Amino acid sequence: MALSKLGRALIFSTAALPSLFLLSVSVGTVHIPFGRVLEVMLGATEGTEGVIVWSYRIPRALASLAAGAALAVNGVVLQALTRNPLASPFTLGLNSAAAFGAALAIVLGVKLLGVGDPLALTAAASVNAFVTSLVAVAIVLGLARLRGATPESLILGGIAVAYTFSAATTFLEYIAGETQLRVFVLWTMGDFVRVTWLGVYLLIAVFAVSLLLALLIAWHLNALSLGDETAVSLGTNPQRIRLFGIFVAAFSTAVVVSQVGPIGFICLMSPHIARLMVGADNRYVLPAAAVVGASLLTLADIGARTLMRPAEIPVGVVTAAFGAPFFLALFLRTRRQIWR
Amino acid sequence: MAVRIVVNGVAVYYGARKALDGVTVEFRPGEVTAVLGPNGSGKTTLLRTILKVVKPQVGAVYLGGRDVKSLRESDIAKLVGYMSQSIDVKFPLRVWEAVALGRKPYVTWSLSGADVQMIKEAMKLAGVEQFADRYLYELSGGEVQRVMLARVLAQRPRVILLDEPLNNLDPRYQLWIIRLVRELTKREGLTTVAVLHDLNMALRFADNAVLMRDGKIYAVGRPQEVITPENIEAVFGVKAEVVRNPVPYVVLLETL
Repeated sequence: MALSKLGRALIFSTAALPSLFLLSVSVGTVHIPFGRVLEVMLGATEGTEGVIVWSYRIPRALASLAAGAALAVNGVVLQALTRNPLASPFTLGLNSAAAFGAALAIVLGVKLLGVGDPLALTAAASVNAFVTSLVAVAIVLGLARLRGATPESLILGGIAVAYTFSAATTFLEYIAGETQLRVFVLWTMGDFVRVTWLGVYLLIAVFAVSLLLALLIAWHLNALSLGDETAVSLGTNPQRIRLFGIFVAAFSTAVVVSQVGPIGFICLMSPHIARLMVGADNRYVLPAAAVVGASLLTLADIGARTLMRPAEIPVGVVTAAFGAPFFLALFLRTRRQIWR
Repeated sequence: MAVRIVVNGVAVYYGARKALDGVTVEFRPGEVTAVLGPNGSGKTTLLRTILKVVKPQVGAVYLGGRDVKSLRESDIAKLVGYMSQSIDVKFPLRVWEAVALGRKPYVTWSLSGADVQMIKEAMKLAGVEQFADRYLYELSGGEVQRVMLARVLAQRPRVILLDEPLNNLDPRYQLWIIRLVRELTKREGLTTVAVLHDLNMALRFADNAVLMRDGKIYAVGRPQEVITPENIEAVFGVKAEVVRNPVPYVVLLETL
């Protein structure tokens, strides 16, 4: 029954990933044919193409795969923990907090870690974004501990955090100079241009760890879908699972956002597409969502590089502009309810 | 293994409100006990304390002689099956997946062949096998109720806690479900506690009745001793008559 469908879906998507990877390495301002990409990857590193492939395209392709997969996994976890199909890590105010951190660096030149370090502006923005995201998570988790980690307390705490950071960010935008404002706005749109090899390793590690930890609590996430009391009767401690899951998903999202900016839609959309493919069992939804998220974000990044070639558009613009209608179409076309 | 439930001097406060106030009661294996009382009298809270969802400020609950405080959630899950009043699933869960959750206390990752067998048997008992591949949201309220019962049965618990299990069910399934629960209780020696609103169902199918008012136990005993016109009037504020023809039958006359 569901299993053969699941198998097909997964085989299909995993086959799609290498093709998307190759395509992502091949396209851009300078087009490099598939054959040449393979040659370079197999060791023919001489020439500008070698530099482009190894220093720019491959890190970028890997980053979009890993970031997309991590965001999708975190979306699944957050939706299950809050029992809310509209939730995502950004519901906890992570994007607002990250934006505030970046604005601190870009507008005021504040470096939250490594004071006095000769960090470049964008690197400082990344570090700050990570730190302020963690502050947001700490606040949300603290509120949840005080008021009980219910779906409502998490979402309300997240909204409060988001508005507070937005207000602070708006103030910084108000006092920012024109160039700073432009740099900041670009930062909030998210892109892969700034990703380094170190960032790639970080993204892959964070994706692997969050997927593994999420799979460890997959049965608990399933149990929570029947409500807290029923979950308890099935041996799940909802409070403990929520605090653990939020910590993992939020930490991982904070790393992603610090590397590539607050890219929306992937974490919200991928879980739903994954559920259409494999049903509601989180043991399957998690890996399926990872594949979906990786594919979507890589496609979006390919779009960002090709739609207005030779110019590039921020990937956040692509995910929103194409993601929203695509999601809507999917939602309208399927007979099956995505949620009820 | 028979599991006796002992609730000893339990008090639960929600803020300033006393939900349970010095409740002492015992539930025995092989018996169906009906918990009766008006809305807000503490029936659901009583079930929640047995499940350790609510921790009493005073007193203790013992499951098979062990204080529930000392039991882990995973241990309780192997003893106690619980069916809540209502269920609201936000994700596209299939009937089969919902019933399979009953095996969660026993599995680490995949379901074994034995697990699958138990899931199938439970679906058959609750009469939901024909819906196995349907989504929960496609079913009526009563059908979902039966799926949830199947989930409890798949858990193979020693204690069954049912919070208004006959809600949403048509007369045929009310009778079917309560008979099934009673039969399993007798055959397997289960300890069954069911919050019921239908006094006649309690009269016919329960071995014991616990009547609650304002977080306290008002009366305990055989259903015929507990469900009397005087008690119904005192607890529910309803004038009633109990007709014997030949089995006792409650007729609710008017509110006071």
